[in-house]
Amino acid sequence: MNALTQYIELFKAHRSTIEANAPAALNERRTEALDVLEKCGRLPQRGDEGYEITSLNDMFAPDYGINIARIKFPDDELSTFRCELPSVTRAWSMLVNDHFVAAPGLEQSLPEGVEVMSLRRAAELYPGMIYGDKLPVDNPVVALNTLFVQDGVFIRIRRGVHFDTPIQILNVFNSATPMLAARRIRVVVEEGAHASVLICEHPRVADVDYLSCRVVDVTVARDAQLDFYDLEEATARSRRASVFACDQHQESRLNMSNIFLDGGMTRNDYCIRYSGDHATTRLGGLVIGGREQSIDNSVDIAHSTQHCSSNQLFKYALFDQSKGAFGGMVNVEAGARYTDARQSNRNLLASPEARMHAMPQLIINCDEVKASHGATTGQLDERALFYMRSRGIPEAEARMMLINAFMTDVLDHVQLEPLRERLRHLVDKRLRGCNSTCNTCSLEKLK
Amino acid sequence: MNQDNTRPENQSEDIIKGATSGEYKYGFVSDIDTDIIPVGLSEDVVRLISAKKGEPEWLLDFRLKAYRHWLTLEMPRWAHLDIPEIDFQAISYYAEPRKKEGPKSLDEVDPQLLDTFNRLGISLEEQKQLSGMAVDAVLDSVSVHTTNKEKLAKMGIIFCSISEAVKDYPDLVRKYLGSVVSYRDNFFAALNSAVFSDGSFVYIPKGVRCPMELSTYFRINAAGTGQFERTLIVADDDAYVSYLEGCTAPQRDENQLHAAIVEIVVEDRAEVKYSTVQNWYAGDAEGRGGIFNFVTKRGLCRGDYSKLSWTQVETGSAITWKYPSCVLKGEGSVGEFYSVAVTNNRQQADTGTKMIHIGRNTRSTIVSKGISAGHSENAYRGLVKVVPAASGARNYTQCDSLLLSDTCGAHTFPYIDVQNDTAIVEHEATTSKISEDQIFYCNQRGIPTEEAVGLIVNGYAKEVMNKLPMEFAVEAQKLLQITLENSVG
Amino acid sequence: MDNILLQVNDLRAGIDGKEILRGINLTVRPGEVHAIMGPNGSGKSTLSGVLAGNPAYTVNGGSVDFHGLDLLSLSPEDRSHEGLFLSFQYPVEIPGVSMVNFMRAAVNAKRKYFNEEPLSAGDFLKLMRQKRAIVELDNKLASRSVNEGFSGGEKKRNEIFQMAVLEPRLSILDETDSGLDIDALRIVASGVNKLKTDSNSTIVITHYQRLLDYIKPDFVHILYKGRIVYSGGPELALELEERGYDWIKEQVDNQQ
Repeated sequence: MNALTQYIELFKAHRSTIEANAPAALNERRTEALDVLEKCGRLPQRGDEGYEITSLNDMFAPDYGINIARIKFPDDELSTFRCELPSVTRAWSMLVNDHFVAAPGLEQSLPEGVEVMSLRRAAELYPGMIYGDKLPVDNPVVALNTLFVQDGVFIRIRRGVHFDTPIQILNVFNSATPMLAARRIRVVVEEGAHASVLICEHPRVADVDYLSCRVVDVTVARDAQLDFYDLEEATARSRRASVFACDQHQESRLNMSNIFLDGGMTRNDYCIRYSGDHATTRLGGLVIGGREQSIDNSVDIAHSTQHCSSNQLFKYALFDQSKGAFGGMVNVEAGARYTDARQSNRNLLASPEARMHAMPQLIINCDEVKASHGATTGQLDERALFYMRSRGIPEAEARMMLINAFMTDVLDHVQLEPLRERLRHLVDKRLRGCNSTCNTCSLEKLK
Repeated sequence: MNQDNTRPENQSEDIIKGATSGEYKYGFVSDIDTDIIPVGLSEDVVRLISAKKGEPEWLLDFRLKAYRHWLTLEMPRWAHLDIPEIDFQAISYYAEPRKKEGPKSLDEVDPQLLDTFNRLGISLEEQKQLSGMAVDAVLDSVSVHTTNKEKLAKMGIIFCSISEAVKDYPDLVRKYLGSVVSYRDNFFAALNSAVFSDGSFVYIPKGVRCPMELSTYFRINAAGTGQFERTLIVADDDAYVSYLEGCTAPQRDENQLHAAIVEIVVEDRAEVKYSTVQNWYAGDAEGRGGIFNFVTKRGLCRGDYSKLSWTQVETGSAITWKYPSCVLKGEGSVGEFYSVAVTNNRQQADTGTKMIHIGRNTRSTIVSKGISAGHSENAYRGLVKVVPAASGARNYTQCDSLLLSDTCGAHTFPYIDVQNDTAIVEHEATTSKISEDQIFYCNQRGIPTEEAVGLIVNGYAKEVMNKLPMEFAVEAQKLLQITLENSVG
Repeated sequence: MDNILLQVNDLRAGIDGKEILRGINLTVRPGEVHAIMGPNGSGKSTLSGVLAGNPAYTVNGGSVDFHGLDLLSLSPEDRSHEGLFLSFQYPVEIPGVSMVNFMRAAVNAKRKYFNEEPLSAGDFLKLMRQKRAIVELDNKLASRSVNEGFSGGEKKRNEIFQMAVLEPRLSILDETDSGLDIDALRIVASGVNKLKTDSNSTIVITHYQRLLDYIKPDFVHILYKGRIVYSGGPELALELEERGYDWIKEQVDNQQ
């Protein structure tokens, strides 16, 4: 069955409703997106190059509803919702499905030069700023998102402003029926500015299917820095197809960490492009997979400018029947001299049925480069385990400590200490939760 | 940086360029009277080849099945290669040095042909005398001479052309042919299965260690032909053999197709070492001519504790597409792949291996060294797969790329699929430019840059070169130097 | 049993199907220091591994009584709680696990085993400080990952530091002298001596007599081909130093 057709038909049938409920700037690119999708013919399936475990076709196939008429959902969320990361920041807002809801007092908590608002409003205030120059419009997820997007979050840090408090966006899903949310998050960090953004994905209901079709579109201008944290703690019935695209200008710095703790099926694409020299990129990924989860991270970095460095570190610990995939394409184009590209993918298979696919790839067309990648898949170090046990540490505890230790260097990338500690705590809790609640992945049984 | 400072750097780059523009020394054509069938491929051509070789019915059937399957396939496009359209109807599928009868001794072999192999540095005469090696020489489509056959026969070792094997040992050939590489495997495997002309057959009986290196030299001589040889090696329980393969072709400005199949079966506790020095004509500096080398090589470690080791030094061919692979089925079986691939000028190589871990406690090692110069493209593509049953599987992969120019490409595409939690799979890859510090250090000690490049590259490739049998190692080392240097003899 | 700490009877064990220990008998009483010496490959490290419960080894027969407990039936961690300490020949590096967390987990696991409350953070740090002094271990090592980036000497001092913290009844020092320069050796040995009491015992496994100049043994045993072939007093070590192992090998091999 071709899942794409239903979306194209849906769009064609309801285009006027979609566009009537969205600002002009978001409507502008729908025709182009439709073209892309019609040319694709179908969505990628398992077995297509780069899609070893994920079938976007299957992911998009169920009959999800899309709230194109923008029927209002009750947003009592703010009063009842508790995030796992409560104390980190006051500067927060929510995306309920794809609807932007500001936290009370959000504006007051933001200093001058820092703006967090709905994408709808931004489309009216700054229509020229709502698309990044390097957004991969050919990507089918980006195109599908573009077809249906009506709202999202817009974050702008003006020139030279340093804002240390992380700006937190809670992605909440709330619906009684299966639903697709086309979310878009646009982040603009202007010249010399410095900000951090934390996105948490949480379900509101655990017994409904939903699909988050998400695009994060980032521009980091000259000498600016963005620290971006993406925490996924969803439900078994959630699906996520996300594209994180970043355009980095001269001497810009991007630190991105993705932490997957819970969910159903996830595909994250990272698309890093450069518009200037001397930029640095650090991508971190931490995955704790369990049950029948499927977690697929695919990185595409194209070095086209000089003196840039990229560093990727993705680590997976897979329990139960979970499946992990990592695809890492580093393309150093001719002329991208003095590029320093590093990539590391380390995986722990912690159950007999877990499975890991790794495809680290290097395409190098320039000789003045340093490029390396490494991928390992294995188990905990038996010698370390015995050493710890011989000092009296019980085996289960020793395994836990070793898995935590295995993950630790990804979290070291998190710049903000309180956030780092919270995340450590969450990872630890996730591992212990896994230990105490589900029989099938009890750590004592692991070999 | 001011002008004066940049000059030495440019100078050294020029020297590297000069040093990396070596020419092909095996590019001569031998004037041998050759029987070539008309170009084109059809069922009739398949029947004609089979008839010319006087083959039994079952083999003709095999060919026809393969041909019919081939018709349903399209040429693969997925490799990181830019392959020009190949007109499969413009190739002659069979060329045979014309002779009255099969040569009974070297005296009867066409003197021109002997000369060809002598110029290749393979003296059949000498080889016959020296017991260090047994050589099977394949010119165009036909095995022209196999040395040391009698001596080997005393030990029960069969080493002959596959055509002879079909006549003399039909049961063995029938049992193993296509058992590792099915004609359904891929486009070129189907093509080869339909039209294969000759190649070597090796059978080492139970418990026998082959006392000498077995070697085949492949040579494409005739114009407008393709070469489709087929090699089948069977090592029975506790047997051991080391097999060497060398390839050259004349310098022509047309592309020629080489689509071979190598099948290896390794039984309980047996060991096969397969070494290749591939030096097909690579085309000229502008990329005119050269061999398209599309080869399917695979070994099945069927027996417990069996071992298969591939070593390849790839310096030739306009386009190389090959992945010598190991299917590790037997418990505790071991697969190894050691590769040096050098590309220069407009050459393209997409090579690597597949290690399929099926049996328990299977182990594999992959060491790949890519060296790219000129405008060439050099890719490593590999698959390490551990199926759920393969408990205790272990793989270590190291692939390094060395870049000698800023116009070449070095790419790494490993696929790692682990489905067993007791497996340990490690992959490390690095890409770097040849070190200017090292070149300077050599210069300072009086070693000219082109020699230094050769030294450094050989050092870089040493880990793999050490795996080659002595006789080949020296030759391969020279070849690396020649491919990259201006010291063509 | 009259005041015996460790009683090894006809212990046989191996690795990967290969038998290495072919019947070890050994009796250790409280307060004693035993040295086990032997040429390379005689089974010294196997013995220490089997006593500590390294799962890499298989026990094929025999029994080990450790102050009334069936040692071989205990998990490695319970052996530790019950007072058996192995100083590793090659202390394992554990990236990402800090020394502090590692030791706290060890100390509190032992307290839990004896139904005691976990140590407070303050008390724990005090304990660490106290014990570090015994082997002159640098404070900065405490914040690093376990053994990672430690020099050879630091690793061995770290082992003795852990021994000090865990206060074992029986310490097995497996080739603690290997890879140590003379100063480090002195520090390590003096640490061991400081921890010595009338009630705890030590088994020193070593190839050379050197360490025994610092840690004086009461008994010396020679291990060869998986058996204790010779036992004697401290003078035996000196004799070995002078004459090497060949005469022992000859004697044993001739008997066979």
